[in-house]
Amino acid sequence: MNNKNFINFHVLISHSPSCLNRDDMNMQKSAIFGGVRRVRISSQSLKRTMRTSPYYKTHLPEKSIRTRQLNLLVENLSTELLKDSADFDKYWIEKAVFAFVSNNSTTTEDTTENDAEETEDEQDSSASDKKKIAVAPWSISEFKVFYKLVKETFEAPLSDKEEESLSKLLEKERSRKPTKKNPKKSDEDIKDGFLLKKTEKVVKEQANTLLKACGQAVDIALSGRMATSGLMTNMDGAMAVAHAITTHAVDADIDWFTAVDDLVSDAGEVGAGHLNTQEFSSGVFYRYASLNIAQLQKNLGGVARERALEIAKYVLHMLATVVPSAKNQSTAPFNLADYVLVSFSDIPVSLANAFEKPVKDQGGFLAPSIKCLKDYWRGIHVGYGLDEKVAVFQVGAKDESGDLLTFAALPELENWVASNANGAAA
Amino acid sequence: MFLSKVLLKPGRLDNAWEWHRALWTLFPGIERQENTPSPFLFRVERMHLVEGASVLMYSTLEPMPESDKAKVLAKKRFEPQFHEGQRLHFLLTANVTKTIRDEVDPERKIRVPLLKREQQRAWLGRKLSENVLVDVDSVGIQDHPPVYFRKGNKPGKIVMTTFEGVFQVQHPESLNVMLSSGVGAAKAFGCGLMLIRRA
Repeated sequence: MNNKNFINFHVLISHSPSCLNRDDMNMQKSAIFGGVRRVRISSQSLKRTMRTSPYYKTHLPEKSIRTRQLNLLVENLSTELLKDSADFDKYWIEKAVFAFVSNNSTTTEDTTENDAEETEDEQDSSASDKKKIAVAPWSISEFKVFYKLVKETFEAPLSDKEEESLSKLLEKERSRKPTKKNPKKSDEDIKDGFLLKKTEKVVKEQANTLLKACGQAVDIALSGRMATSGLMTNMDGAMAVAHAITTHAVDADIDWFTAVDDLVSDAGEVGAGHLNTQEFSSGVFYRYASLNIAQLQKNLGGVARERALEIAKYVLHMLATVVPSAKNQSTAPFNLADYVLVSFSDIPVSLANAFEKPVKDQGGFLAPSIKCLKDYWRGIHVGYGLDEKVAVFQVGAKDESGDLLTFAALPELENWVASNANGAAA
Repeated sequence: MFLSKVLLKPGRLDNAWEWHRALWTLFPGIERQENTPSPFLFRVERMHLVEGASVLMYSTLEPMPESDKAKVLAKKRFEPQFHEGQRLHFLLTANVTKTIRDEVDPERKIRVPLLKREQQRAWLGRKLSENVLVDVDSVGIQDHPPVYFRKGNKPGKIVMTTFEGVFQVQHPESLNVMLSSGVGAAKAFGCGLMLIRRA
């Protein structure tokens, strides 16, 4: 019986010349590792690519809504909710959205940093303190529950005790001297604030229901969420994703010999002949992710291990197939992974250090990268006495008995994951 | 002017003195004269003792395709057209020095490398400011390990510094002159060739 809690995914994928992930200066993202420059694809870019892939849509229908603008959020939610039922009302949707983010100390942190590819249209509105931004991912299922709570709370008749507290509040506000910073609030505002506090209590009581509903958006269950308001629940992500880096060095050198050509033609217009020298590079990338099965079960509202493994299977498929969308039309880097090693383990273990010494070109980088990864995995496995269940998918694999359990088809490895590494001996 | 991509064939590349001598072989029949600038500037792109070195060369004369020590991989005429106000990216590896009198023999002048960042920035400002507008504080600077050479049986050492940044053209004509004559000292060791591209 396999009861390992972590699944480690190690993927080698070779991209033809492309520029898949840029920073805010429009330069290809890179990192120094082992003393040499590698091209890098950030984890947020990878996660977003997974979240927005057609495959995700097919297998995991609900994904979170992510936007920084509340009015857009209200529009999105209204569209979504009114699509399948007329039970929702825009007035209350707006109210609920406002309630959800209304927080005196709105932090603007997000589990997913915005990467350069993620251009949610952000307008610099005047920095009024009224400016409300929603940065945490929203789950529709969760919002439905929340909507109901808000509507019920706001519409419920007040108890005598509550009436009393409210009238005291109103009295206090009416007799207060308004200041510039703190102008007089209308009775309506006071009442809203009062009900909001009441809602907060209800929400706290219902936290589990909300959490369960939130887990419907699997991307939140996988990547977690940093709550941005008191009413929103925090969620620890179940999946950790590393920045993908090339297994070998990639020089950033611009080809000046070619670049000078722009100077020969007489460009009469100063600065208008703006030609960007965009760097392209190809390379074998190592992608790594680890999945915490128990955490995922919890995030999904306490589902069985089987369901978590089913999602693990989808994660595996996406890690082996998705390509960030940048410059796809001009570079078409639609490459699939050549090699995937999956292990069920007691701990998350990255094998990035297999490539700390950059792989040298030996008739290409792919074959030596695969060898490095395998050797390094074995070294760690033996060196730390790890108890793992391991299997491999390799394109064009011949049946290699005696070595690692190797499949020549990705679905076979996916099934192996979904079936809890059944029948595998590593 | 010509811009060429040249391969220096493997052989004695461990001695930096041999680099420009290998390039000279591409200009047969040209007399080398003391006190006249050589007909070419160059820049080492990649030094590989076994495979040979990859070099960019900027020359007044057209090089021949191949000699026993060097081979032209690609070549083109290069007559850049500049105009005032144009912004350009530049890359320059230079020998940043000042001349001082020898402590032992005051009659003898020697060049010493400037190693402090402020000194290097100031040096670049002095060299460029006649032709272009440059904000030296925004220029990226990279140091290199010293390059050792032997000229006959005399050993020597060159310290190189790479500058990379953006400038704005002020005097198109004099910029062209600066590009073809090179910036700073040690041009025989691959210093002074400034590469440019549009910003």
